Amino acid sequence: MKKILLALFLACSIAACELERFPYDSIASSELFESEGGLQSATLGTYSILKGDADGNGFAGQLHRLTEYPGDNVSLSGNTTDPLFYSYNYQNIKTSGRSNNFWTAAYQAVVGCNKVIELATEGESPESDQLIGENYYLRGLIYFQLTNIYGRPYSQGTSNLGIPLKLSSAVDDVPDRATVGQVYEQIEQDLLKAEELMSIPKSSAYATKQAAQALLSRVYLYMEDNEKSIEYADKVINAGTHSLVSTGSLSSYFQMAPEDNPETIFCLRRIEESDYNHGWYTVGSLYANVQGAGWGEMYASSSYLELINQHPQDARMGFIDPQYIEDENGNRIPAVYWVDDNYQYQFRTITESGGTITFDNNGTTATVESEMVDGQREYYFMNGGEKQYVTKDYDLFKRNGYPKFFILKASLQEDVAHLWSPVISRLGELYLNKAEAYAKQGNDAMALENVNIIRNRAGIPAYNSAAEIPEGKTVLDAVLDERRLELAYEGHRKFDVFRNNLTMDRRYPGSHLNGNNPYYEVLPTDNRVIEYIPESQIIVQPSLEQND
Amino acid sequence: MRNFNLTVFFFLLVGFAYAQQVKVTGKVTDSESGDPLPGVNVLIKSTSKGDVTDSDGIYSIEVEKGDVLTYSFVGYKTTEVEVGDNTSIDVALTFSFAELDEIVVVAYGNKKKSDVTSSVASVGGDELNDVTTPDVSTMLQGKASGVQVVSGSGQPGSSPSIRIRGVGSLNGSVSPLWVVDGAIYHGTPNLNPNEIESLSVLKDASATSLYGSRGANGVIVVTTKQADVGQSNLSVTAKTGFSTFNQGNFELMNSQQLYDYYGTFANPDQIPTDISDDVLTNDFDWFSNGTQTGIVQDHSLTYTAGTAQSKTFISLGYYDEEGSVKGYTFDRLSFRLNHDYNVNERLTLKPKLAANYSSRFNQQHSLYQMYTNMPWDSPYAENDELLNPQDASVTWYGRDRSNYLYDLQWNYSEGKELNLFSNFDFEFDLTDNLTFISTNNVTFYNTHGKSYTDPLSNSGQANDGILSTSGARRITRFTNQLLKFAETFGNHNVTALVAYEYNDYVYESFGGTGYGIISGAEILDNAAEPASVSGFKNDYALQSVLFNADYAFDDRYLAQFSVRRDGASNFGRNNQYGTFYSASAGWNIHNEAFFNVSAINALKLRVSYGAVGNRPSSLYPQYDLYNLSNTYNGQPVTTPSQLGNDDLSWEKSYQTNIGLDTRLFDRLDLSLEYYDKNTSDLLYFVQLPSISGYTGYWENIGGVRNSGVEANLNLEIIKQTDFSWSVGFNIGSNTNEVTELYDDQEIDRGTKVSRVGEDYNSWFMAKWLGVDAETGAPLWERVDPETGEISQVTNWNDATKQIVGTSTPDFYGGFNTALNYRGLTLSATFAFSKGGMIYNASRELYDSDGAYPTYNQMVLKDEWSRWEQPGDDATHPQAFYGGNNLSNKVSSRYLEEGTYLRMRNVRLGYSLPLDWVSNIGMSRAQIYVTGDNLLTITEFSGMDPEVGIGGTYSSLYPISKRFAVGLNLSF
Repeated sequence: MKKILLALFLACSIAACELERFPYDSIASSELFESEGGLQSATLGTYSILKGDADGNGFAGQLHRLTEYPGDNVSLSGNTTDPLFYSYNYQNIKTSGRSNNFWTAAYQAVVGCNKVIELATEGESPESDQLIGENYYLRGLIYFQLTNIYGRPYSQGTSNLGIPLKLSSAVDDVPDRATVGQVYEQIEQDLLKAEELMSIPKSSAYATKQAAQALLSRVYLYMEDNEKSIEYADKVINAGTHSLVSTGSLSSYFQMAPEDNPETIFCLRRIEESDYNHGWYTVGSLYANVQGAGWGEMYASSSYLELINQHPQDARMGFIDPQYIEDENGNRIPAVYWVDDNYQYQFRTITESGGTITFDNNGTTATVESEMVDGQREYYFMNGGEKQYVTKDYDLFKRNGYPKFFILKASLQEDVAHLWSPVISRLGELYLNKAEAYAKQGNDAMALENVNIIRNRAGIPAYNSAAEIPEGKTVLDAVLDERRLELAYEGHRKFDVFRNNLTMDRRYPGSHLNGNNPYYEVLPTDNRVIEYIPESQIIVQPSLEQND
Repeated sequence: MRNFNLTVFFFLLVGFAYAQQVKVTGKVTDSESGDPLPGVNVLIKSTSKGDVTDSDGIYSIEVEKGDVLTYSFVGYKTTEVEVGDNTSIDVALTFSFAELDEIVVVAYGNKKKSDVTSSVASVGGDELNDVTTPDVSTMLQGKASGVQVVSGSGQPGSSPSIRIRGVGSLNGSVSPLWVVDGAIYHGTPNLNPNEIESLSVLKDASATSLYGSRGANGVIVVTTKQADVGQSNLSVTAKTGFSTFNQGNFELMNSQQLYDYYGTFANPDQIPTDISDDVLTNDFDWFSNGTQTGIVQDHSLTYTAGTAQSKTFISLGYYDEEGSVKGYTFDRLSFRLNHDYNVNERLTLKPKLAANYSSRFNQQHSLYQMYTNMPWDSPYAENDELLNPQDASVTWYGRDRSNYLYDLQWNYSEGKELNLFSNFDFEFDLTDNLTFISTNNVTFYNTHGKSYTDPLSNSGQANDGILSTSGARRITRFTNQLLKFAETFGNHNVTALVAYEYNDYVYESFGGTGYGIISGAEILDNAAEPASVSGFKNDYALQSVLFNADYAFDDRYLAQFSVRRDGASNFGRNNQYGTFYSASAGWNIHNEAFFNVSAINALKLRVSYGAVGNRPSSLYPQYDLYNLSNTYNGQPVTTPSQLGNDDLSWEKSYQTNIGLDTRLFDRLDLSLEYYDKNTSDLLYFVQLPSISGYTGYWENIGGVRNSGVEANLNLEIIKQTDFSWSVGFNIGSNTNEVTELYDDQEIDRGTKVSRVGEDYNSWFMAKWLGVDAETGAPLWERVDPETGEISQVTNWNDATKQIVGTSTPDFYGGFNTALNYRGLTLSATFAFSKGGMIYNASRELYDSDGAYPTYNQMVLKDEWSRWEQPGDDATHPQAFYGGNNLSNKVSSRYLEEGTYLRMRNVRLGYSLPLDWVSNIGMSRAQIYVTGDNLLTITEFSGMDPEVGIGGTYSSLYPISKRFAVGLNLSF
């Protein structure tokens, strides 16, 4: 009996194992920051959060959706269950998972920056200062994007509500919304500090002094501090670290490996091995179906196409990939198309015989005529006694009646279908920042000089003087049109319209006009110019004030 | 352990002392009828030596003078006879109602039903095995009161969710614990139902507190089969069935209906011009194309043999099922060997070994596309070749331009799963009243998965084909060393146990993907280019000591007390150990001298109270962590992933149970229960504003209370030897209430909410107010946050999210009936659930008022109507191409009552007369026909009201109707 009890006791004590278990995919926070390289890996962690995941979630992907879809360069060809739809058609919802995902990733990254800024000591070495500077830059960038999405434009008043400014890593530090003015002040401070601390040249996958200066140029432009916008643009231009991609290779801008691209100042670098799987949930996937991957449901808008078609030789047409129908012999099918009064595309295949172009228009034969307007040949036919201008092109594949003008700015990096490293700053933008700033200062000559750098590179005629600007347009209009052409699908357009107190014209085909209460235009004063604060954040932080 | 094995070995060597022996023979009969009793156990007292009577009641045994023989048989009073000088001993055994008392499996042992003081529902193996399924949980549906079994899919091999007495946690596990042959399992064990002898559902604290930190959600204790002494039997069962897809009340539009629906759009100008009556060229029924009559086969072979010295159970099973949706098969081969060997009168070895291997092949037709693809699109070209709508030249109206059949020509995935369950158990009688029981179990789970994407398919085109393989293995180890004491002092009966237990788990998985394959490639070596690798591992461990004591006085007064101390790896260092306890008492009123009501055969009152625990589902919730699995630009990075909490501890569930068991007129068994489960210190993922840098952290805050009543009734209407008829009925009703939350802050869980004072399963969404009769616009309710004033709004965003019902049913249960007449048996099992709202999420797509014009739409139910002109009192808003004011967004519009009554099974069997079958060497031959889910009564507009535990209906795979024929033979 005793023996048995002894055995039982032994069995118990042998088996009485240590109960400690530690996860295999993580490191204890305390260990991380005691280790050498801890700050470095935590900083890279912040880049990683901003870059997002292979399924298009995270900061960069959502940022693109929240900024580009409310613009006038895109046209969605149907409805979708995805909350991106309500950013596109201005019927915003407070429960958008994409908006909440953006907000969450942004603040997770901010706290990452704060942690490194708190733990690191300035002045130890250029390398450690660079690291601290990168964190200041990233924080400035995040606050800039956050306030532009959730707060009204700076130009509409600095006392409007911006976003909460979290400047520590303390979990219980949960501030409410600061004003737009306060947020911009912090952004400026952070970026200036970043500029000062960073000195080490790095590839465009990381923040550098030039990245900070480039972003400052844009921040000042948004703040309407035109002088400083020019000054900071010049700092980058004159540094000589970056150069414009040539006209010939412009259309492959986003296909190059980012580090081989001389124009990119900073991008969130994605690589195939870890940041890509099948590609179906990436940003590019909605714009195009390439190599069998992608929904290809959102196309270039007819108003964007109209603008770029003013110069058919425009190298930026290379970012648009129209899906032409071919007949059995592999030939395209000549057609004309126009947008009717209901903002629906009308396509007609045409026949050409003896120099006369005709088509069947609902049972009657219509003849296509042409005339010269502003040096361009324009086609039209007589529709019930009125000239209906048409585009003479080829028939395209359509989805729900919307012709497929695929957009390739977020696809095909390193020949991977929808691999894409979203560009934060590139040299081209800086010339346009300068142009806009000069135009606002009334310096038309300098404005045009800078616009022309971009026009020349695009392979279209320069404006030799303000007189060459199309009738009815100011120099500033011309600058903004150029900015629209150049920076389309890079997340600028919505802000460029509203911060200049312009109206977003959405009178073009697209599913934003479906339903019973569509927005045909969006006034800069409209409540929906900015996103709702995600409702789930207000639930856990009730003092957070919702946008109207 | 080593010392122990030596002890065991020592006892193995102990031989029997040899002495002078004589042979005794005799006949055992029933004292009333005088009929011979076969199968009676005749044992020399205090040994394992003995014999069993044959079909004529005859036995024979070698004994010594002085020996005492014990004669025991189920339902009869055990009788002892001293051998003396006799060589022939005939015995007449007396039938005894008390002896017929059912043995119930409880925590760490068995009990006579009359001694049970806790809440236990017991289901026998025969009762279990009616529906045709490879899954034990499915069989439990409708058979035990207070046990909610909810199926969420009709896919072969899928298993339902089980909730015992409601949901008692917010973020922790809410599924019951499974215990098989004394060993605690991880998750739900994959067992062949044919191997199960009995299944007990332990419901209250006194029943589960011996499982301490894992008992709060109830425990299901499974005992696998073993041979009876004196039995030698080979039996074969074979069943073949046919499953058909059951669309229930659901109907989609055909081509013309959809076209006519387009005609009702209020904004015809917005309809794309390419939609004309050309669309009527096709009228394709995607459901009839994608479904089939699937064949199910369930066969088994079992051999059982029992002698006084050893018992063996061997079973071999094969199950094979084709889905009623085309392209999915599941099969399983299972094997079990249970062996009990009496080494000597003290030591019994009980090794067990079971294995099963299942395969799934998945080339299943897409249910989502069957629901949403348009009848205007046919997947086939005129030459019957499959169309690829990704090719822009193909005319295709459907929104996603997807013909799943195209890629399905090549692409598939498959999974293999191997489970090994091994026990080395033994029992050693230290003294007459002290037994040492050792339970030692290792389980091994291994899976292999493969996913094949052909280079020709749309999804494989970009990478020239994709091949992914993955593997995972899980090993659990469990050991329990238990001392059991049992003694009777006059009228006092005491049993007690004390044990040490250790349990751990480790899981590891890996996966690899390769690009660039040649059609038909099976292994990653055939891929031209490696694409990705992944690996994962996690683990946990628990150790415990436990104690239980039962006391009974004169079969009248019963008392029980238990306590367990548990330590687990997933708690903060300040709170790694917790103590759980329970106490219960019972009173067998019918055994009191004063109680003399002849109509009442049994009457027992029992009460219990105790504290049990629950662990969090997260295995490492206590640590402050940075994640290592992300990268940037090819470099490894660290990202903050979790805030730590050193104080993290168990969820504690305080449970009270009051029960009454009675038997009336020797025909009617009735049990009534009331319970109250109050769970506090809930493991709670406290959500933080993202501004904190984190989404939240684990904390012990919050409480949930479940209370309810259960009733169980069995009536033997006719009970004659060759004619019997019985009916059974059970019902349970649970009320759930969230009692405490962090800062009383409600948690918005999307379409549900956790709010103090409300049901955890409360639906939380905009309240639908119908259709404006004048404008045809949708209406919702707005509650002014300041004044509480209620108004109607036509903008969904302005509507107030509010509680609009719950997915918890008012009550649920089942009933059954069995009729036996000579060899003929007819039985049926029904399950029902009343109340409980289903959110029909799929209707957002196919009942969308035009918001999804390029998905097919459902045909409105008869009582629904569409607004067409002012004055219409309609259920559905005016349809617009592109939708009407977000009318299809989440709101109570799509909440429907989930009440149903379902005939789970009906079975007609015929046993061939015994004298026929014995002529051909058989002991039993039965043929039967059986049908599952043949009848469902419900108002729900979707295919199946059994939508899974969450109550949300979305592209559901409904449970199939099934018809089967079977044969059971015993030799």
